[in-house]
Amino acid sequence: MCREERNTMKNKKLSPSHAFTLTGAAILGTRVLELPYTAAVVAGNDGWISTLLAGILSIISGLILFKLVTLYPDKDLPQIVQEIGGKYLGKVLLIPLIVYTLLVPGFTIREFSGEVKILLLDKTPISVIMFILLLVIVLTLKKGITVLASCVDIVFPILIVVLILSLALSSTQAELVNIKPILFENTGNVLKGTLSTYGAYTGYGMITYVACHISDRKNLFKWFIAAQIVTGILITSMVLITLLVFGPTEIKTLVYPLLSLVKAVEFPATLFERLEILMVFTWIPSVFSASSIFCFASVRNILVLFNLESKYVNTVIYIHLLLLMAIAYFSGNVLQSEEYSWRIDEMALFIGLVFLPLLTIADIIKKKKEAKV
Amino acid sequence: VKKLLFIILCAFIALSCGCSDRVDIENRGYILGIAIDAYPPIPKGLEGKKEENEEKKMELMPLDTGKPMYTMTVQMPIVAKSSLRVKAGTSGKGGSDEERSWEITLAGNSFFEMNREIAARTNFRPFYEHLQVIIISDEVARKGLANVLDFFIRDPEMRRRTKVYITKGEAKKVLDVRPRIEDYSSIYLAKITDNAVKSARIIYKTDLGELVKSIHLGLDSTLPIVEGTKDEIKEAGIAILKDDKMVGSTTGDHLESIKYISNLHKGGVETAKIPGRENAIATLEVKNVKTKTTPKISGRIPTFKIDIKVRGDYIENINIDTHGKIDEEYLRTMEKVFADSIKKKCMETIKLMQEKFKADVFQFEMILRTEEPSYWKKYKNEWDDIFPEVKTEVNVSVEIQQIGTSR
Repeated sequence: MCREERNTMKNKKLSPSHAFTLTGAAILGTRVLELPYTAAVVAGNDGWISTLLAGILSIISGLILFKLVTLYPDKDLPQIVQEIGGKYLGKVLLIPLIVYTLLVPGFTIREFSGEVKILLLDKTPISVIMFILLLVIVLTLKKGITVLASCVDIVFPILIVVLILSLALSSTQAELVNIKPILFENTGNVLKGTLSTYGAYTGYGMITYVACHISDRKNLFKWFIAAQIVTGILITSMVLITLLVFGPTEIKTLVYPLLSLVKAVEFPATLFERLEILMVFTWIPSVFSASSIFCFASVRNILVLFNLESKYVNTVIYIHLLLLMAIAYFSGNVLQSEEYSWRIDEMALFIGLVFLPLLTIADIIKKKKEAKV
Repeated sequence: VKKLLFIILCAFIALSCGCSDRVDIENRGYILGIAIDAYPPIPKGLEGKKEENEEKKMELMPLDTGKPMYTMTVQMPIVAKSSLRVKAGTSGKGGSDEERSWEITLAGNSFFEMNREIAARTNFRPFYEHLQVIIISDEVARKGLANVLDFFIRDPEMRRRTKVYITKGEAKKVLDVRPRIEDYSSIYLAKITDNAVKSARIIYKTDLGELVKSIHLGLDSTLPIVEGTKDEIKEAGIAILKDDKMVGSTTGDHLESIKYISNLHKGGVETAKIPGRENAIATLEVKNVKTKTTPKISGRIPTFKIDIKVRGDYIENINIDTHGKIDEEYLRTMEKVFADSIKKKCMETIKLMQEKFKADVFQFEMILRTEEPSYWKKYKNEWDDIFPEVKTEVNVSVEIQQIGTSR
């Protein structure tokens, strides 16, 4: 990779299949671990229906977003926003994107570091765990999107296999009675739950940052939709099995339901007695991948916002290290962090269901008007 | 400067994470079993002896919360003296008379505090990831389990699949058992539950997670009662729990019926007297049981239709010569005999639970919650009063599949 390409963080060296791995990793690596809790708190035993509906909703939003991407094949989202919004409004419109793409990795790293501390490294200060994770992210970002995509290529299939294995082994404890009665006087909560769990899927938006790096765009759409469908099925299965094993009442008492689920596996082979360790070991690179992708997006947003030249890329990346550490510290204890996460989910709703669709519609109208003239 | 920064960074990473959490395997104090008693227990073999007082001093610690309510005894394996290690050594003997485990008792009010105080009495770090069993004395269980179990469900080292037992009398005594084959009583006890597929008088689900789930849902439930002798542990009946408190106990045959009714039967044995033949007994090896419970709502008191389908093998008969005489008619007769026997036992158990304990251990409540949510919404606060009046209709069908190798 040439130095210029690395610095601009743009090089068309990705294949369409990277749309699958990058989008899939961005979805699975963030906000998923606490999703069963969110689903159970809002929609009770029907939380899995909410998650399924949120997945379908995210596919619809994804389709709208993909339309935007096809209208600007050589630009990424901040450039598109700048193009549509103009010199000043475009910069204002970038602000929610910057805030969101910074907060998601910050909180994800904080939350996951807390889990690693509890399960593996109880004597290591949480700040050290966070710092090391961020350090790896920064080093990867410095190497550019190709290296990031290659890392994700390795991590993502392993994550999928471990997740399926964990869910399959956990399903032996499943009891149908835990999700019954289905939809009894709970439709309103299911709809509320759909909006609350939507935040877990917003990784699909990362397609707008990586699509312009993909040279062969023929199969891009297929890979993108496949990523959304596969992750949608996995996330819904995860919430469903957690509900089937614990039931909503018990999930509400758990801080990390997914890890408790894996810890509850009872399988005759002693090999699986410590399955949660395998899960954590897999989830570390997964969180790294997802956070890196979001950071990549954030770096691009900031570069475009301030019209920075390519020589400042590394500086912006280093600033991210500090910003993300600050966000992670700011998120406080697990309960405060959870509260903030709910706010981030609301922000995801606004961006995914209001901001970006409106932007797309505005652009289509604008283009039609231009064509008439 | 870059190199210096790189070296500092590497040193920082190496010194501050990963390795600092390392504990060598031989320095871990693996806790295999925990016994919880009401304060004070008498240490094993020290009843009335001078050493008892010395041991008692060790068990006590200064408390900020008044007099101790509980004692917690942990079982730690002495790995060097395990039978596997002895066999691998020079002697080749696995049956050493030496103690293979160390039981440490502490008195206090907070289990976490007791856990940390245990660390003051051993050079090993207590490690609970491999905890197999928690044995609780009936005295403690009658006062309520919710307080006792909070530490075990909250601490990240604990596992929800740890098995929980009740014992009549001192729980510590069960840990003191020296099993004949296994090295440690905790592992011996935990493995007994695996035999639930062979005997219906053993509870299949007795883990911490299920127990806590029942407590959180406000369901009545059961736990196995265990008894220990010098070298043997036996599952001897069940403790009946109402919410989180033990309200009584009953025998293993009632457990069989509970498992039939609750669709939890994993296999076992059914014996029945053959009518018209003096002292004649037939035995059925139960292979598969499917139970379907259907609620019928008409007013405040629901009726439960319980259909139990049993499949099994005709495995033995006593005081009756059937060799060469077993035919279809005989098998149909025996199927009815077994079905009547199971039905009778189930009816007796339902009556016992309704009249004596007033505890819905069959968890009919869950059926109403899930199948009849409108009814449940209306009457959930009255369920404790309704359950003793609930009507049941038990139908049992038995299908004999095999007759062994003798006709």
